[in-house]
Amino acid sequence: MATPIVGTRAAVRDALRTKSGLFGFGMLAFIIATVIVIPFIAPYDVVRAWADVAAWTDNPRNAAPDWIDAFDDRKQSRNIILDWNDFNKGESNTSQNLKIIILQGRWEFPYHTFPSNYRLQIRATWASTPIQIAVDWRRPDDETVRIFEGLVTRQAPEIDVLPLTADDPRNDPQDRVRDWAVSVGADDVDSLRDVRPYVTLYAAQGGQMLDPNRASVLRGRYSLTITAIARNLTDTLEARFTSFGQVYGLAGTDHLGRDLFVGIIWGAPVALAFGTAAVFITVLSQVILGALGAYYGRRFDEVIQRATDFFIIIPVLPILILIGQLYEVTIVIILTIVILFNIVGGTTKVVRSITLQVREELYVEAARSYGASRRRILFRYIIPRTMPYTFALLSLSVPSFIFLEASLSFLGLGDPVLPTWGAIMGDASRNGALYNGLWWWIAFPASGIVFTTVAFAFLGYAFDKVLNPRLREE
Amino acid sequence: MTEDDGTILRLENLQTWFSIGRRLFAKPVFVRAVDRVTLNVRQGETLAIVGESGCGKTTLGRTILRLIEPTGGRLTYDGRDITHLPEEELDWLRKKAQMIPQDPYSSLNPGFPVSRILEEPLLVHRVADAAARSELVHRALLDVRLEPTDQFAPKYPHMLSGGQRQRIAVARAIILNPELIVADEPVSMLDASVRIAILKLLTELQKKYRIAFIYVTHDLATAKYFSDRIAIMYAGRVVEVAPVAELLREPLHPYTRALMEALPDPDPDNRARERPALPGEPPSLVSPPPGCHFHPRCPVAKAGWCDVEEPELREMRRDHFVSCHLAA
Amino acid sequence: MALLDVKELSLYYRTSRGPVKAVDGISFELGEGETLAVVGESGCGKTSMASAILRVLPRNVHRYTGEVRLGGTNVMEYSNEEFRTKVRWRGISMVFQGAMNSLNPVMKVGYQVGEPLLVHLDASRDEMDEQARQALRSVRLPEYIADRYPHELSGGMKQRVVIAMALIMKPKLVILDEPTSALDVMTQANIINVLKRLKREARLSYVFITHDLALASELADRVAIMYAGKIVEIGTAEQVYRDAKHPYTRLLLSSVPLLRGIRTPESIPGTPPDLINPPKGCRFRPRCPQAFERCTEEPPLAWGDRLAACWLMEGGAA
Repeated sequence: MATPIVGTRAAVRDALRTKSGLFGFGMLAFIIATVIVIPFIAPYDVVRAWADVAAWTDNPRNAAPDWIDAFDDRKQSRNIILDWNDFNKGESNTSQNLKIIILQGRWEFPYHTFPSNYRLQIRATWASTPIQIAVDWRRPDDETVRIFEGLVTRQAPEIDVLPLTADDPRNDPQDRVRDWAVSVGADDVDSLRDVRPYVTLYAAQGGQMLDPNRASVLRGRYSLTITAIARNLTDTLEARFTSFGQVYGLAGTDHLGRDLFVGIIWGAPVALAFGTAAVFITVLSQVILGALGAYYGRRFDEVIQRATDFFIIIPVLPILILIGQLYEVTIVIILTIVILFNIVGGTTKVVRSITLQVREELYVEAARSYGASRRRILFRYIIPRTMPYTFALLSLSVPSFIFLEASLSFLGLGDPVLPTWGAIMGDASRNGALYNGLWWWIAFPASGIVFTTVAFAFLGYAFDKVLNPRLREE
Repeated sequence: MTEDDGTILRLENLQTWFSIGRRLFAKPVFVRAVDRVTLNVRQGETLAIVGESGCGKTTLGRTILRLIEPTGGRLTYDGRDITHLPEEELDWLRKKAQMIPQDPYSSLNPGFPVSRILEEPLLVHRVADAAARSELVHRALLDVRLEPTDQFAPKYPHMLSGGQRQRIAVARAIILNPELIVADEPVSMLDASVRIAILKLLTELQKKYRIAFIYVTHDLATAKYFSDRIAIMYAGRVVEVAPVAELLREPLHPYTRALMEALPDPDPDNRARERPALPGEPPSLVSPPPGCHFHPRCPVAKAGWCDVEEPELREMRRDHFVSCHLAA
Repeated sequence: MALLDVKELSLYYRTSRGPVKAVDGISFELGEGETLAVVGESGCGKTSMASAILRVLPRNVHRYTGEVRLGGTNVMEYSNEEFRTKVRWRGISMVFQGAMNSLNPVMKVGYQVGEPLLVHLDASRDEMDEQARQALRSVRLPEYIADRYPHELSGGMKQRVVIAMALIMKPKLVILDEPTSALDVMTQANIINVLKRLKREARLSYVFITHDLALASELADRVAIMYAGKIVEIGTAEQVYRDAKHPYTRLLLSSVPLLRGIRTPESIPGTPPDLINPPKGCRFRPRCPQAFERCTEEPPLAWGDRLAACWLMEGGAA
């Protein structure tokens, strides 16, 4: 009796019936659904911004996912942005031809943890002399602190970011805040550098105000008043305030404030596209070369066999690392190199052995007797018979290609622009994610890789079960 | 062109030797599968080639169809010398001469449905019209009695029984309207009752379409019922050729006689006596015995003659040829 | 007392489409030194019957019932271990279909023939060697064969080795399943001659399974015709070959091409039934040219001194 006959359609159908096949297809369907939804959640221009640091400055850095306090009564601080238009503006002209501009902004701070930072941006124009401004911080307990006094140094369209957290010739924020805090009863600190203005300004009065570890948040309404003196009536002033949260987004942010959610879901199509493109082309090549070699035999077969042995042994990753160190690579270049090194491989051998077997079958001989050309026999009779046996290999190759790309990106040698899972994990590793407890930064991209790998592994196992009679459950 | 006496196929001292691995400096070694065979086949007749396994009959069948190129002698089809014609020039032969292979379980492409299996020869020979092909497939299925044809056409081989599969193989062989069919043990893998049905089918088709058959088999009994002439083959050579009745009435070659004696008919008295059988086994085709290949097992071989000189195929009775020094 | 007495032996296999009734209530007797030929087409259950007697069962057995009395004892009641040590190869041994291709290619022939002795009797290597050579001699193989490997032997020689293996523990009964199917006519005749001689000299009983009625007549003292898992006719060789009663037997006989006779062989129309859902009543009814209304009920096998499961026996019409 001939080998177990399984056509492509039958193989797929049978594979779907097994438990692992169902799981695998289900998981793959989920990934594909994610990929389809992407253009609606995070279109490509958002991703192109991945390489542009300036695009992410409104996000907190190293923020955790914002659902981690879902079941917690203590709420983490969120990002609060008072945009240019959110400030109430009042202008008045004085007798000395001076213009006084007052900008005021208000916000609620109902959280239990301090922000990770804060920032005040000023956009101004002046005709002759830079505008002089003073910034007052007002707390729910009616305390007001002057946190800045000085000149605006940049004109529009540039934006001036006031030095509110560290010393600068224009301001010594830590001094101001410390002096004020001590005056309302805080214990002093040993070093000025330990003062965190964005903590103390939000802290409830008491001895620990200056201690970021022990201070507690004063919840309530805060306001910021910017008083400016302009020398020309045509001068303008605008302000924008950001209170950076501890949490942000569905997956947190990285060290540059990039929304990891965007990075992670974009990792899916990149991984899939890379994996499937690589697999498609290499399997096609391997199948054809394996079948050709086995069918035409002799020296041609010998050449392909030895080439296959050679290529199987060559470790692609070290070579990619080498190339990555010497040249700048894009994902397309990586893909090309990976494909080139897999023109022949394991599938070649499988297809060769099946071809050798099928070549001897009587229906091939019969085909010759009614005049079928060798090419017809090879491509219409033999290769289709090998396809089901390659499915398992196909399926299991996808994750290994994905892993290859991820490894390269992890080492920082991959495509510098695209947010791939490996790249994100690489950033995480190099920026002390684990050391600082920023688990989300590693967990999500890692889960992406694991999930995809497991999906294909299930599929591969299901196909293997269908086609390998020994594994079949009776 | 068919020759004057109606011969469509002529073999003259046909030789197919395979060379097998040669060691450096050693003489080349050959498998002499077909070792100077002379035969002819006339239009519409059935020639059986009877021999045990390893005698070269399958190779002979494949050589006749030019699936293998002979290494010596001459092969003529319809007057044309096809011995060494290159494959590209054999397209016409691939329409006129077909094969029915032995194993119905591996002679049909398991990935194709019946309709595709039967369409393949038509596609190869570019019968362009899909409707015309469909009609031919339908007719072929009717010819082999697989009805209703639209029920069989979409089936895959593994859904069919051995007998049904062999009918498909027959249908595939006749769909191009051939002149000659080489049937290589077409029924040996089928059950006894199905064998007769298939052979009857072949007889019917032969009469209907005037097809010549070369029936390769090891079973002399079925050859009796499905052939006009029988050629007995031993160790690559034809040792006797005669019309059926003549051969069975008066077998002249000792091997033919031994073959007949070794075959039982269903008879309960058989168990009481030993069946006469030749000792030993047929020789290897790599180094067959010198002279007459049969002499080591022959009950009447003469030393000094049979082991030295190869006997020629001579006409001993009318249309009855024997290759034996001692045939009278 | 009969050497082998089988009563209502049944073996069904479990499959995804339902149980396959491969052997469905088979009964027969076999005496010492007697040969019973079991003849039927492929798929009729004859190989399964051999597996059932020798308890060589696959994993998907759905039903395995009946009585198998060897020398009076019902061996179906033995545990698997008892069966292995007492019955298999000692009481009954078997030559499987295609066995000659299942010889271990990396073991010498002599060792393979003698191995059962090591396993069952704990014999010494010398004893085993001696017995093995004796067994090879009994099948007319020269002693030096014992030191050869299977690939060095021809098909006929390998088959003799397999027969020697089956005889090494000197069983009383050997089941042979198509022992000559892949062999040449001449070799087949030689093997049959060996079997004939062994039968005479060692008083061996054979259950000889084959689809070839002509071949069966070479050894059979009695013949059982199987169809769709059941025995439809059983009798002495003379009765079956010369005076068959069951229509299937008759059709089977007439489908054999005769080398020496003049009868033109006839084929049997139709195909054997599906063993998952065999026809109700007489299983041969759909293909039987003489079927009538009574045949929708299953006919009994025994009718006085003739055993043919056919209603035509009732009125003596058979």
